[in-house]
Amino acid sequence: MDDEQRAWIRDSQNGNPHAFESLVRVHQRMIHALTFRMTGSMADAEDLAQETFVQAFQRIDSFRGDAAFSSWLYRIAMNLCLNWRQREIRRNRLHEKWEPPEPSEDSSEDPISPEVQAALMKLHPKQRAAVILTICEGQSHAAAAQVLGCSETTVSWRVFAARKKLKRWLSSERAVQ
Amino acid sequence: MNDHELEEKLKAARVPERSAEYWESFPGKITAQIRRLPERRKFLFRIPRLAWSLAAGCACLLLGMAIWQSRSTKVEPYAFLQDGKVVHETLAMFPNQVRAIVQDKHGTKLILSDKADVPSSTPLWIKICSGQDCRVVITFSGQHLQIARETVEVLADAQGQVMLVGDRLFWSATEQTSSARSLRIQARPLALM
Repeated sequence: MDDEQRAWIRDSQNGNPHAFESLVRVHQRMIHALTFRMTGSMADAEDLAQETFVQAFQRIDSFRGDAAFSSWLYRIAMNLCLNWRQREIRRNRLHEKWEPPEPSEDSSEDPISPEVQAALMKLHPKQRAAVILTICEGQSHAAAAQVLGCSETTVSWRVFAARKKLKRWLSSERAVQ
Repeated sequence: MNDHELEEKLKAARVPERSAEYWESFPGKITAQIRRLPERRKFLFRIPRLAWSLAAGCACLLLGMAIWQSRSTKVEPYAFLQDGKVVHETLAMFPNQVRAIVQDKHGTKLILSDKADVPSSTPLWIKICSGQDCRVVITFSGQHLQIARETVEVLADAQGQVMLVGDRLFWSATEQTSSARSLRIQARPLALM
């Protein structure tokens, strides 16, 4: 974290939204990537990214600089994504109950990797989070454990279990193609 | 597929790109949202940590005091028969017929004589507990009670001292036989209102 970022954080802690805007500008792509990989939807990713930054501003006084600001943001975003998943399940159940079924829309809007995104979406959200942080975002298991609020061993176990499933699913996709 | 191939595939899966305008406008959307937040929500997390700790401490203290007070003011389970007014009204309904009013875990019983032959005297309040089981009796000097499978006579002297006298069991505030000591007994005249 450079001095400029530290100054933006300090100013944001004093309630300056312009300083916070600079922090958003630096971290927006990273948070959007995370929220997209977690949800597989551009619209939901945008909503969650917005919610992440608004919550970050509200809580910025609790950031004490022990960890990197990006890790702190990751943690907020990941918690929102995991809660979003629960909200989504409830919302879908409600829709199924009250609305006639509609033709299913491909949740992945990424033209490059629909099968990878689909496989990620099939994982348990906590396993998906571990894979996204460690493999896609390149974080260490220790850093991912901090973001996810669990032990490093738990992260390793989730990644191991997720890898097994992903290999099976993506290999069968390849075989079909 | 091995681990390396899987990682390559996952890393190659790029997140769809958004337009330059989107990235340009996104930070502004956030600040606009922040400005729209009500002041209370905006500054919810700005209260210093010490203030939160103090507030939490005070809340715990108040909760503790409330619990302590609720326990200390808890209604005594047999308080009903301590109410002289209630007893007085019951006695007035059956003049000289009430031998005893008994309250235990099963409820309250009124023991009446067939005839109006119970002499008028000051009612006596007696509480007898054996373990968790308690019984409260309102009765009069000269009446009989069953205590520990023994019939005892209730006696009161001119000073209001109550005695329970049986063949083997004797209880007074100052003296008890061993069978009475195994019970917890309290007795006193009941002031009528």
